[in-house]
Amino acid sequence: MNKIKRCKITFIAIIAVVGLFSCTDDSYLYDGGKSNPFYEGNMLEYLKSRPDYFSKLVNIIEYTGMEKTFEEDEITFFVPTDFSIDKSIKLLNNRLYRQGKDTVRLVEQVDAEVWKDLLTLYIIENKYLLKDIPQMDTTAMNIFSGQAYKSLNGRSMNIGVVYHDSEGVKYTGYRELFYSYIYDFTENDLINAHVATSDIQTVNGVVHVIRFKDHYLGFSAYNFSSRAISRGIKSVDEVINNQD
Amino acid sequence: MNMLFQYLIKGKQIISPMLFVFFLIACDDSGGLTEDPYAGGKEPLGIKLQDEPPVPDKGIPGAEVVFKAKGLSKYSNPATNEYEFEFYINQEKTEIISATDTSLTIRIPANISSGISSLEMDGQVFFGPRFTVLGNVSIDENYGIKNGTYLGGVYDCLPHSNGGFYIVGGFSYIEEVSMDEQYGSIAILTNQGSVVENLINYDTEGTMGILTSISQFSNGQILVSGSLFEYNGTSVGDIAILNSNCSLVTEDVELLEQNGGTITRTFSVFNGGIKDASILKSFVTSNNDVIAIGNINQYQRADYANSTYSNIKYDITEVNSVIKMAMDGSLDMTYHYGETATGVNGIVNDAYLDENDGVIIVGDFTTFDGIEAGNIVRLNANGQVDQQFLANIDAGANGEINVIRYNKTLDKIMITGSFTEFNGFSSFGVVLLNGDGTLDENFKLKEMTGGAVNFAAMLSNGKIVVSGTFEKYDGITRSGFLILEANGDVEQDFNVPGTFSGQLHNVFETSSTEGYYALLLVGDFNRFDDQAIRNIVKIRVMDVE
Repeated sequence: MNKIKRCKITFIAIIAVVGLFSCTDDSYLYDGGKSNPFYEGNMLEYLKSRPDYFSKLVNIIEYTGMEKTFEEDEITFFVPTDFSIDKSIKLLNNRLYRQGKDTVRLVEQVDAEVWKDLLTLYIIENKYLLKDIPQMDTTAMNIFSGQAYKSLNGRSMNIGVVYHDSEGVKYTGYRELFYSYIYDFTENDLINAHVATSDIQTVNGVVHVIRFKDHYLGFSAYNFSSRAISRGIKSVDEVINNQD
Repeated sequence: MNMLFQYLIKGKQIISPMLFVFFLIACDDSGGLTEDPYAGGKEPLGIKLQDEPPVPDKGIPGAEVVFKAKGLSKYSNPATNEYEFEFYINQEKTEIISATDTSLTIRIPANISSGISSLEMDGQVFFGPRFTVLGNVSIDENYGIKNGTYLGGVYDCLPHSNGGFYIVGGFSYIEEVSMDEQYGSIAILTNQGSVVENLINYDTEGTMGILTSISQFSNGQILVSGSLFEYNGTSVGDIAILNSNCSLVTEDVELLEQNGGTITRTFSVFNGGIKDASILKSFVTSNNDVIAIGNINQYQRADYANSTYSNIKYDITEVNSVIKMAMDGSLDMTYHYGETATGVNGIVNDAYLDENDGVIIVGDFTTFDGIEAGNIVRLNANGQVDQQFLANIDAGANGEINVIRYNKTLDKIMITGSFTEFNGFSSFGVVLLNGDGTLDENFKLKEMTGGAVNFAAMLSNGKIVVSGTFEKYDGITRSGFLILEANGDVEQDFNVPGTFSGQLHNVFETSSTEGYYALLLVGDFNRFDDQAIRNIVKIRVMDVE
């Protein structure tokens, strides 16, 4: 019995020692360091520096003549990526297709007012970082509702930071920024957009990039297409002729 | 774990020092956070608008109203009447009369609709309770239908002899979703808004499909159409004639059996229909013929003489856009038929039948039967294009027309669409025409932001009911619903309801449950006056003049 016991102790001791040293070799680890939240340039320059996410967005900004807002004004911009824009365009095209009409290929085929109306929904004045925003709990909105801010569009939008739980302990986990379209605040009727990357600080403003997998430009899926159709769709020829 | 624990106690002279060293080294790499990344944000303003209703919670423009709030004193100076914040009701700025730390007294502005209150400071917005602006328009709260219809909207109504209406649409439930009470897209309502007891079992055996149109023959029978392939278990081709209790009018036909005998099978007495598309609108003419309109190409009629019980032979005839049928369903070949009757070169969206059995068709097209037409055309009672109407319309709309509604009393036509000009007259998608197609330039839609109009109809008193996706009209927030004057102006008293979301399909002038003038609004909507009401609502419209 004693012998078995000693064997086991020795065995565990060996495992412990092996375990101890096996972790010291971290040559496999690539430490990216802390990401730098500052961008040396204005917001438009930043958006242009990431054409993989924002090339169509930059197109729209130029088409609507909103460059100045993004270059000079002190704003917080919740950025819908090209993927969100494409999703809304695709829905518009489905509707046009069902009506037997030509679909949209160019940003300019849709009235500039429509783009401007929706894009300004994503902009609020002044710089707001995640830490400046009050807590939001989608299951307890009467206590933690975040805070509503007036967007450039004129419509009030809600911003809140969701404190996630960590190992069952409430509100101690990571924090996630939400940007929400308000249908009816008293009824808690909101459409939330999740921020995937927050606090990118350019010279004139703060950029929070919205998670694209579940976001449509205009929040509600049909917001863009119904506005675009009601304003009239230009044909590709009209767009090209106008440019000449 | 248990085992390890035992060793920890029994063999601790070896294990414990070892574990001690182990933990010492393991924790050495301090990748931990040195500072709280979430610290140091902006101070909140400390303001709150309380949820409890204001005093009073309803009133007319000019009324003083007290809202409960919190933390205002820091930002107010009542002595000089200066406040760092602004107060809004339904997004309209109000005058602040006084403020204490816990309350705020404001005055309701002259032009405003009902909605929630909000306080704004430094670009931040704090929402408060709703305020009801009183006026001449209110929901008839005694009307039996309070929640509306489910699983589909209401497209059309027909006055019933009981003072109420037949309603048709795509709905399966009224008031509540209950498996015991289903409605196959059609129901009869009393003026009080209760559903008439089903005489015929149209709830479970009713329409397979949706009904978009209902009208009546002089003998009291009803014509319904839409996108339906079966009614009361009998197959139909998008159109059917019903008895006044909503049961299908049928006939028994003797058919051959395969063994050479004969057998009787029940069919819809209206032997005619559309094979390839739905019927958008159908009408009963003054001599009880049927006109059907849609993006249709194939008319079908069963040939019973050459059919067997299990195999019905259908004769298919090519048709375009508009057809006329007799009450037995047979195609009228003297009306819009043949090689020249090519119909629209685009899409038909809507139509109505006028007093003289003429039909006015709108949609997205540039020619009708090869004749140039700007998205709108009228056919005479004989099915020919009305050249005089066409001349009056002239260039017509420069874009699609979606909805057309006609007021017989005033002989006025309202059209709604995505055009920006009508015959050179610029308008943001809505114009008023006289019955002969000439433009009524007295009506001019005012500036509208946030969306467009999706429905407009003129009432017999000259007012115009409008629904849409817009948020502001003439600079004032009036979300989605308007009752305009004949010239497009807004009268405050008639525009007090809060947010409407959706689209109206029709408006009927009727009486409220108390007997006052009222409107029955039907459509595809889920909110009226900020309340969750689906697809049908009755509103009182008091006239104080």
